[in-house]
Amino acid sequence: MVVGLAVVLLCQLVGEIFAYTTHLPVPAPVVGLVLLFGFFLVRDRWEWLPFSLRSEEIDKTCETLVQQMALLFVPAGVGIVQRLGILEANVVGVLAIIVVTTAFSIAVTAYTFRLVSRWFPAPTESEE
Amino acid sequence: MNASEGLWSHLTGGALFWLTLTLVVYTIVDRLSLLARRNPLANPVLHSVWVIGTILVVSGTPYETYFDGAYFIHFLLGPATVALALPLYENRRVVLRSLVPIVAALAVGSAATIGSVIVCAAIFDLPAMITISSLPKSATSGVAMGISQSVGGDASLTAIIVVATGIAGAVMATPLLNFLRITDRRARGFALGLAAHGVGTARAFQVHPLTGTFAGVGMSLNGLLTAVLVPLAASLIGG
Repeated sequence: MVVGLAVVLLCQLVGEIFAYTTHLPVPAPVVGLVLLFGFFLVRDRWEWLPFSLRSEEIDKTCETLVQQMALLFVPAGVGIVQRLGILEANVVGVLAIIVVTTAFSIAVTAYTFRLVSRWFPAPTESEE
Repeated sequence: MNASEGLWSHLTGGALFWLTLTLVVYTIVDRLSLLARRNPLANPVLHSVWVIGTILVVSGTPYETYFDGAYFIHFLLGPATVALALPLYENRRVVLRSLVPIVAALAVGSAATIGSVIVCAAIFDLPAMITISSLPKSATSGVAMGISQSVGGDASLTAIIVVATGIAGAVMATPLLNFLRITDRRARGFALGLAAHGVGTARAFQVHPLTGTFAGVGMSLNGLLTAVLVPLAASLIGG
């Protein structure tokens, strides 16, 4: 748990440093994701890494975080109690943004994915 | 003031109570969602938010007091985004084989999302602050709040709209995608992750690991592209 959390936080920290020093509009956690991906690539190829960095714990920590991701949105969502006034005054427009643009976004993305994957079929596809 | 009132105000003024309440409410709601066989309407985030929100309003507790406790959970949003590297790594071959549709759907989906927010805001004549704060609505909370701040939006308002978007996406995805007759799990997952970030990704993992992985890919790539596109869109509508 500890080594897993340390590695994940370290990736995010380096991401933060990267975003701050380069002034690029990249979110630190996304840079951290790329770094952790690179770490997994390296780990499974090179045997010389210290034992603690090769432990399964890192995978288990990541698994837990991903599995419980929905919970992590609750505190920000409860923030709605703070903005009830402005939301109530614009309730129809805000609901339209939340429902209509999200439905549009899902539909457009899924259609584009399907259309393009028909033009460029994956080499060996198991559709299941 | 009697003893029980004293105890109540002692507890509700501290972080321990609200952190515990968040975990307990979520655990119960998540259990009920499982009993409802993960029906999209039984979305655990949706029901946790209104239950806890009602408790705050009824008890007259300021959000700041609540957040002091809930911050420990909120903080993990960043690490959880980083941790998406694991399913991505485990499925890297499948993802790599779908690289062309991924890139195409990302570009079209991300731009369409931001564009549709601008159109929708114009139709309903929304205040500029709401429009600006809604632009990064499909990026994951931690990412979207940062983007919103950098373009002069209201980060708290962004967080609410982002979470509401995630819930809406997670609730409607299954019936909507069935209606559109999209059966490819990769397309379903990717669209859900792109449009409804982590809440959508959590929903996608409930359905199938492959759907979840593609949702994770959609979520992280869209976090990246939204960070690039929103400042452009904001300068267009602002200037």
